Amino acid sequence: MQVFNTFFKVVKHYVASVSIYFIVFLILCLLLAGSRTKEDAGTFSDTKADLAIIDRDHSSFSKELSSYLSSLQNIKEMEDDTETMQNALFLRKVDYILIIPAGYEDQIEQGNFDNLLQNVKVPDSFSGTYIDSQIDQYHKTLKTYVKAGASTEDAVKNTTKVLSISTNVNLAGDQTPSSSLNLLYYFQYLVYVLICVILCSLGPILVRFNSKDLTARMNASSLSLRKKNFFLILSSSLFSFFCWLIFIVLAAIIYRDAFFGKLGLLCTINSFLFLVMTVAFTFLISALVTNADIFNMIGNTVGLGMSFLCGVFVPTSIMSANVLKVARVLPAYWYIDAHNRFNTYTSSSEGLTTILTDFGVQALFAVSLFIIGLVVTKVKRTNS
Amino acid sequence: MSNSVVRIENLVKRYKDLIAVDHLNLDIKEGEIFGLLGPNGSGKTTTINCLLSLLTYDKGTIELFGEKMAPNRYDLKKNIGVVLQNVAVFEELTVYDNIDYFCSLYVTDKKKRKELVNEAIAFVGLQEFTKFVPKKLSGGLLRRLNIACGIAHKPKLIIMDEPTVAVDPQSRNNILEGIVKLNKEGATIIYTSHYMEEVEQICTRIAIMDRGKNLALGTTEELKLMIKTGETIMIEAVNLGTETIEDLRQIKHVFHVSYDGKQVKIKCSGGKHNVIRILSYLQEQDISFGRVFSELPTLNDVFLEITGKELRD
Amino acid sequence: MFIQLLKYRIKSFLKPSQELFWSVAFPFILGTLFYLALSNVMTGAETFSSIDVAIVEETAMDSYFSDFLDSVDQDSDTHLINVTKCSMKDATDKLNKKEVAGILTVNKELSLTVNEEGYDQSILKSIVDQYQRTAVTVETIAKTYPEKMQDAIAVTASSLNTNKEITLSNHTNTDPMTNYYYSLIAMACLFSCMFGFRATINSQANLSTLAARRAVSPAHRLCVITTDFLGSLIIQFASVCLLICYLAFVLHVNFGDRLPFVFLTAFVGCVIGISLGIFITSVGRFSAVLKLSFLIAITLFLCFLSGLMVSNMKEWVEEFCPIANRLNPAALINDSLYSLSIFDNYSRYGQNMIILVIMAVVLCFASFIVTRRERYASI
Repeated sequence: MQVFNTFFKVVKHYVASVSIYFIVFLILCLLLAGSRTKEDAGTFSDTKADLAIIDRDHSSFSKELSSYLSSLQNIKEMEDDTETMQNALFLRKVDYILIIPAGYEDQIEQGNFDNLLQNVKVPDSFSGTYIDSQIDQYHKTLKTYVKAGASTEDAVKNTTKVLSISTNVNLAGDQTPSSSLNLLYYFQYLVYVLICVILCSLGPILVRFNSKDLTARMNASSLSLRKKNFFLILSSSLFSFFCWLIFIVLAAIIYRDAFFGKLGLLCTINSFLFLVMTVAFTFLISALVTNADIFNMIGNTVGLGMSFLCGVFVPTSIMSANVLKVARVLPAYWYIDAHNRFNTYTSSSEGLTTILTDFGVQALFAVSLFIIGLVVTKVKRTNS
Repeated sequence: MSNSVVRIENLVKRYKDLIAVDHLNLDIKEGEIFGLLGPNGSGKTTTINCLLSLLTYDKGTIELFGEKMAPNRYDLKKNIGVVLQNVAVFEELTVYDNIDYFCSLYVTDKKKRKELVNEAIAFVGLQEFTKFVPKKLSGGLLRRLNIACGIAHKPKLIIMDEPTVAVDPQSRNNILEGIVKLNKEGATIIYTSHYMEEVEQICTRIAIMDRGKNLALGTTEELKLMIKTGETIMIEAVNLGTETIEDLRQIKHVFHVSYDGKQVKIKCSGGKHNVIRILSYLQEQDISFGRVFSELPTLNDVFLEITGKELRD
Repeated sequence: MFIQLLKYRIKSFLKPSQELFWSVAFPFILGTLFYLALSNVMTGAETFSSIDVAIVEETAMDSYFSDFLDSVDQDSDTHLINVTKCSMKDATDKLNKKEVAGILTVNKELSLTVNEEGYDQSILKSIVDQYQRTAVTVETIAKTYPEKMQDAIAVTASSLNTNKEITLSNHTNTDPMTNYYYSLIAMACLFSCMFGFRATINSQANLSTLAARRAVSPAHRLCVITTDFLGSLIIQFASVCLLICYLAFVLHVNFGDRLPFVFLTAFVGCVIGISLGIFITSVGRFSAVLKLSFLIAITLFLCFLSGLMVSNMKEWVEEFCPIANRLNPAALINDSLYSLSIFDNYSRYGQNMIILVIMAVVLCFASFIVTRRERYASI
């Protein structure tokens, strides 16, 4: 019991630096979730991108093109000036700049469709490609009519009419509401945050108990190693559980619609398993090192390392298969693997076995790390 | 009359409500080993830090080598060697590099510095440890490194703030001998300690401090003369009656008698022949007694009488 | 003495320590991690996988449409989509299991059913749109200009190069993943605050005994501080240069063709990092441990805002709080590197550099004001 009390006295001593990490990473987590939602919400065709048209032709054709595009995208006014254009693109004030050079109408009337237009866009963006295809379609249709022998006026008229045809899209009922997406992002980034917070705060505290002098003193006392470890693990678990609980409560408050349901439950279980793994890992490291400073380094290296290798920051779908194969030895891989299946499971009850396997692997990681940690303390004690 | 190296006049330093240094006056002459003696928290270190212009103070003047001390008096600082109470070295540098670093703050000539550094290493006996980093040194060796860093440049004034804490007795003697040697080579030394034996052994003059005040100042002998106790006589004797004790109290120069059933302790102020006077009284009364001890006062007695408490907590 | 002080400052900084880890080792580790995680994207090895789509024929599809499907089906050259014909029930099932991205229902009209909004769904819609439009076009032409039918159909089958992508400068870097590396360099620069931290701890008498010891030496205070600063700068700049070389020549990250300016950015970045470290360590009466924790957290946070973890973070901030991007040194460094790879002229780059330099001066000056006193009320 003494260990238990002392532990929380030590915690009190560290409370300031613990809170720094806690608050910073909490903000980080919320910002990450927030930024992702904005990016992904409505990548669907209906979303309008910001488009600027620099019309140097001022012809009826160029105006026709402009009005066609304005029906599809947000048109932004822009000066015909290179630096202004660069800045606007740079600051993402526009996603796409279309330049209609002088002579656009003349060229079309002569039936020449090559290199009629110029564009500058945000590199490799989806909206860029999308606007490209819209402009292409417009001209292809126009060209078809022109080649078929229609007068240019008729061609333009027909083209506009044809392009107004749009496939009817039904959104089936089972789509993921945006609050669920938010919740999923929150828990996705929680991996990184949990590792950092637990390692950076719990680590230094545990090291105090494993420091040479203190260990020697405690070994000399009537306290058995088993008892000491028991209380250490108990108090670390309690401390970590409390930290984790704050994150969970926060999620419950912010994303309450999505949280109270199957999805929230799954996310909570998953993150809890990951928490246990993290505590076990911290326990192991604290048994190995003597310097408390080291936890800052390990925390961030392991945290960022796992996050990048296991698909927390970069989606697994775009990562190389070889890296992902290696990532299987890291617990975060299993966390993310389960995490990525939650959405499907809640909508179609598919993939429960895989999810449970992922949970199991994480639990296995936690148990093995704890056992290794206990063995290390044992070996260390016998050696000293 | 030799010159003042350090003059402190009316120094007052407060930490909020606590008066750490209370109207302190000191005048340390060239060639002295000046001991600043006092229990923990008596204001020794604060005085030293004020002297070095590390701390602001509320009142008073401090002069070094006859000039007013200030943080930017680099010319004055050049002549001072400092061994601070807490070990102040670069954890990342080796013993040699540390000494060389601190020496380089004072001495720019590379060749000369090399000599000085090696001398300092020999002085503190760290020859075998030059390639070690401070972390690998034991507490005592670390202290010695701290001293070496302070004295390597052969300063005119050396200020040592409890340099021998946690040093084993043998090394301590070496250090003390070294300090005397430095003094013989011309350095003035200010030495603070709460070890009376050290101070008694090496200091030419001593100031006793408590609660920020300078309570007594003088050579060991002068200090001992300041107090009432001139001699403490202890006689082994059993079965002394209360009358005998009363009678003993009446003897000339005796001012305090205590008895524990085995030994009677008699404190006498000054005067000669105290032992003879007492022993002859005992013989007259036909009281048998065992061994007789006579002790001259120690600094401990001085301190005890002046401050009313033991020096060590 | 100056050289001597500098020598020992560098020597002491080069010993293994927490500071050295953060400012030197950590960026290398992170850079390698980026490389591992992003290599696929960077090298363009990402293969476009065809979109699975279920087709439900409520009425039998005409030959035009089935020809069209063949032309875009997996086995064709374009293999945009992978078609499965099935019943409505199976299709809905597949859609729920996410085995298909959408259901294409063939009736009088074509309609698309999806259950989420994503890239695949958008592409699907535009494919179907395109077909319907072409069909209408061909139909009208067949009615109005039957004699030129062949020419018209040739056009619909051909590819078009009407719209040409141009660059506004000679320095267009089209790889958005490079942004991660920009932020990484920003982080490496900012982590020089660790050296600023230690230098300050070592020179303020109320923070460490070593500083007190140095304060009573005859070395001029300004000289001590300058050597501390220079020592930090030399080490950090050297380490960032190494990092840039590692990224550019070993991991083949494209920094454009203005490498000297990249190094200049790194230099200014190190200056701001050290100033930041000195400033944060100087102000406030917190313990050294607490200040260090704060430094690490704040640095990572600033880098995070510049896109270290999620690369489009900077744009997001630009939208909601543009001033943050003008004040966040990590974002400014990131921005400068970005400008170098995008713009011909140096106006944006220069603006960033000026802001950084001003900030460094302000931070140094503020630290100077705070630490100006050379005597302390208590130590």
